[in-house]
Amino acid sequence: MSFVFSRFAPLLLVFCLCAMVLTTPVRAALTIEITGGAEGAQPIAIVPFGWDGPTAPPADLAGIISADLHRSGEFAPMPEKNMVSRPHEGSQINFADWRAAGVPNLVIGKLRASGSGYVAQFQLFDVFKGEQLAGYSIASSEHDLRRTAHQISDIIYEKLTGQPGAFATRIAYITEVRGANAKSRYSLWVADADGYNPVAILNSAQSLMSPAWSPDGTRLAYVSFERRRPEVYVQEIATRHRELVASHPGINSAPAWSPDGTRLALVLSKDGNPEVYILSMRNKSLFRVTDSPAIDTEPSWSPDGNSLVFTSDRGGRPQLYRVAASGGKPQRLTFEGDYNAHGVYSPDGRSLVMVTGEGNRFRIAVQDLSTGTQRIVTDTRLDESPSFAPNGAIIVYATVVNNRGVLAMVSADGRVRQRVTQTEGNAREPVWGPRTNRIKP
Amino acid sequence: MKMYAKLLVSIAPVVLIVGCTTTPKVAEKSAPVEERAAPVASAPSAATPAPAGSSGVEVLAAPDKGGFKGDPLNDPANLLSKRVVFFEFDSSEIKDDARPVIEAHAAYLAERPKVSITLEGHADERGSREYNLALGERRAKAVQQLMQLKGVSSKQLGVVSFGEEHPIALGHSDSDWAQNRRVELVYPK
Amino acid sequence: MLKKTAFTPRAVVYAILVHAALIALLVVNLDWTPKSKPAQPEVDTIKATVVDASQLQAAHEEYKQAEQRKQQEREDRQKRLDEEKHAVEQRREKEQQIKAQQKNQAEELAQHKKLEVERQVKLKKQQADELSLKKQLEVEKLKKVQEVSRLAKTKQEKEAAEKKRKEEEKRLAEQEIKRKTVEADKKRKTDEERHRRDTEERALQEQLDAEQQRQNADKERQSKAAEGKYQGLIQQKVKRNWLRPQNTRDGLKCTVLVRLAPSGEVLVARVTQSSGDVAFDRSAEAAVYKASPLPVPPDASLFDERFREFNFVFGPEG
Repeated sequence: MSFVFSRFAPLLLVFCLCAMVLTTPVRAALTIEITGGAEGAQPIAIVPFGWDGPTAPPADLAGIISADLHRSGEFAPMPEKNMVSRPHEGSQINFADWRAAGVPNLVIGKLRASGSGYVAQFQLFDVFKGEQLAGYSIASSEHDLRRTAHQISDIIYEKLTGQPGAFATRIAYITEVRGANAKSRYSLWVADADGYNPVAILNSAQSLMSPAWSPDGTRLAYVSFERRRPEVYVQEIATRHRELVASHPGINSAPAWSPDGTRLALVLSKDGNPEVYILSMRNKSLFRVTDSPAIDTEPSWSPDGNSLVFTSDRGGRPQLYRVAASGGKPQRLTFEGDYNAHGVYSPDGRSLVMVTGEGNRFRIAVQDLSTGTQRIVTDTRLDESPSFAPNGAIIVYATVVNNRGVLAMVSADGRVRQRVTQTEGNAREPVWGPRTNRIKP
Repeated sequence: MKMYAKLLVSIAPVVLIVGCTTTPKVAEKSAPVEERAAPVASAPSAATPAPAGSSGVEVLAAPDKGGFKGDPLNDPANLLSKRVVFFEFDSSEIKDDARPVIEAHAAYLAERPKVSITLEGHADERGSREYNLALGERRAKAVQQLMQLKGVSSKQLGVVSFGEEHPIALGHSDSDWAQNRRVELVYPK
Repeated sequence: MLKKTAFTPRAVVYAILVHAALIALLVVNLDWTPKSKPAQPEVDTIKATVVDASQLQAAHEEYKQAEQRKQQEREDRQKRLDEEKHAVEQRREKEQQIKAQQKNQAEELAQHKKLEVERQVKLKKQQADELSLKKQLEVEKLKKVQEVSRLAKTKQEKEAAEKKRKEEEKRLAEQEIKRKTVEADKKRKTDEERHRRDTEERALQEQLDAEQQRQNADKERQSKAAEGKYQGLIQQKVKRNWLRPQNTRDGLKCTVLVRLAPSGEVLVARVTQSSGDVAFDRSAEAAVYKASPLPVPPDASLFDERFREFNFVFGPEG
């Protein structure tokens, strides 16, 4: 019945409109302008997922999704105690209740055991229109349940903002735990983007530096001082297999994978002072990109792989320069302030994130490459190592809070800042991994 | 270029093996970090670092050769007891009060061509780590250059940078940073 | 006066259309409401395609068949219309033919009458001629004696006949003129009557229109004031309920079409011109829904005219 009506609905609508046009004197349709309005996170209700197992549910999916969406700064999940009902099925939803609560978005779902694993099912509704916006059922395992929840967050985020989410991604970072005898212990970690499920892939008594994700997310390049000098290693995350890729006299550091994963830009001072080189991962050949008596370091590939941004003090103070990956004359990019370093391209290649210094304040700034305008997005004073999320919406960086090194995130426009959950020691040099198994809504 | 590649390829396995055998500290495991006593003694910690901005006048007045027997290195009154020189922010220029210390060590080494030392460059925590690594190297090289000018062979002078990785002072104030912007002159045990 | 306007045929047509529109709206709404509460969860498994392809195919087939049915119906209706039109044309043609025939007959009759008259005139002349000939013959018999008088007499008779014939013709012509005059007169009178009636009607209509315009103008003045008032109230309420998303670009702007029930309840709020930012668009729609019911004028005609369906433009300040 409904189908028949819906088929004729357009005809009827046209007829109605015609009738209205006939009855209404010719006058411009009323238009009401709405400006201003409060700015804030969008309310969303994420109802605790249904679970009919005899024991407690293996994971609080709704809780994980709520935390993700809250962390993005763009959503304000409704506290569970304010929920009038807890539906798990579309048929159990009373939209009027949620409308009355002023919540435009509703997520319901359930988790059930299936064989040796689980199946998580969820639906996202537009409360006011009473329409389902997305609905999926995802097979998972006990170990992957958090990841499944992050995938659900990604789908919800993309449906509601039009931008792909970056919750089901990972970050790598380094911690230093200082012992009682002033000896430190260093670890390289890989964790979910929300800081959970941290796994140390390397522990060392000597310092570790500059982790860099391979574009396929399977390997990390990093600098290790395990032989009392900086050298570059590449390590497979799954197998822990590692390989020393740069061990020249002097500095071997600042590895950066080319977007196609076949080359590694790095910095060597074997010829006297630090210069940017490109190391082929296929035949291990080296190509020198820069040539200057000054410091040239921290190369970052443009997303198209054609050029590199690097830090150089050839002008007297550290500033960012761009050079073709094939070499040539570098072009200076930053002119504001007397300290700009650690430039990293945004995923869309339109902007750079960097550390900018002003007196004793070192903060994170984003520079628009087309206009050259630089905007400072943090307001602490020892910020460093910024790295973009794969969707370019969030920047993870390191800072110092209460004498402790911590990781933090800031939206690319600087409006929302948040600490990353962290276990122990001083954390630093976070670097956001690529999106590897995205579910496209 | 090819030469380097060949060299690297031929050396890499050796280096790897050496690296693995000599560095039991690097554990490839996923277990959480645990505290462990240091298996190897650290580089000799520099003696009381001179506070930044202290004048060199006191240093010149100090020597008292008459009262000490043995290696002048071990004479706490000798200038050679000072093994750290400090720098300004983002600078590798050797300050006036650091010059006599470097020159004293240069003279000591020039007399003893078989003794070699390592110059360890460091930076304070401000700014980017990689830039600081390069800055540490440049500071160490600045010291190396001055010593070579004073007759020390380059073979006696190893250079390594630790960037901001090994601070002396763990605070985040100007005075902490002043202590961390340094080059350490490390004699073998 | 109001009553009078209400009962003009145009008003009746409008009323029907408005009712049809209302019914249509109700029907359309009837269709939308059940959709808002899906009885069955519509869940797509990750591995499966998001929408069931066979269902789509079936729906497509059904749609295609329906389209064909509709097309057939349209064609049938067109055919019927064509036939009807054809029949009407034929009838009109026939009538025209008959009219033409009648006209021809009348003309024929007139011609016939004229010929008859002429024939009779001729006949009379012939008879007269024959008579005169006979008399001539008689006179010839008498010869000379009565020749002069006979000639004169013949001439006289001839003249008389001629005169008579002429008189007859004149009489017929006069008769014709008289008939035509009467007819023209009658036609003139009819035309005059019609013209008078038309003029009167037109005057009346003009009067009515003027009255209507006056009323409209009054109403407009009143409704403009009311419209402004409710526009402000609606604006305030929606603005209060608008929560802009964070992290959006500056200068975003979108248009939301809204359809209201007479109670002010929001039936539909839908972005018709996107800002290009999904989150911004959604916040605008949500603001309208959250503000439901909107304050609307109690005057049904003002509501129908201005507030049943209108646009919001959500934009940057200033």
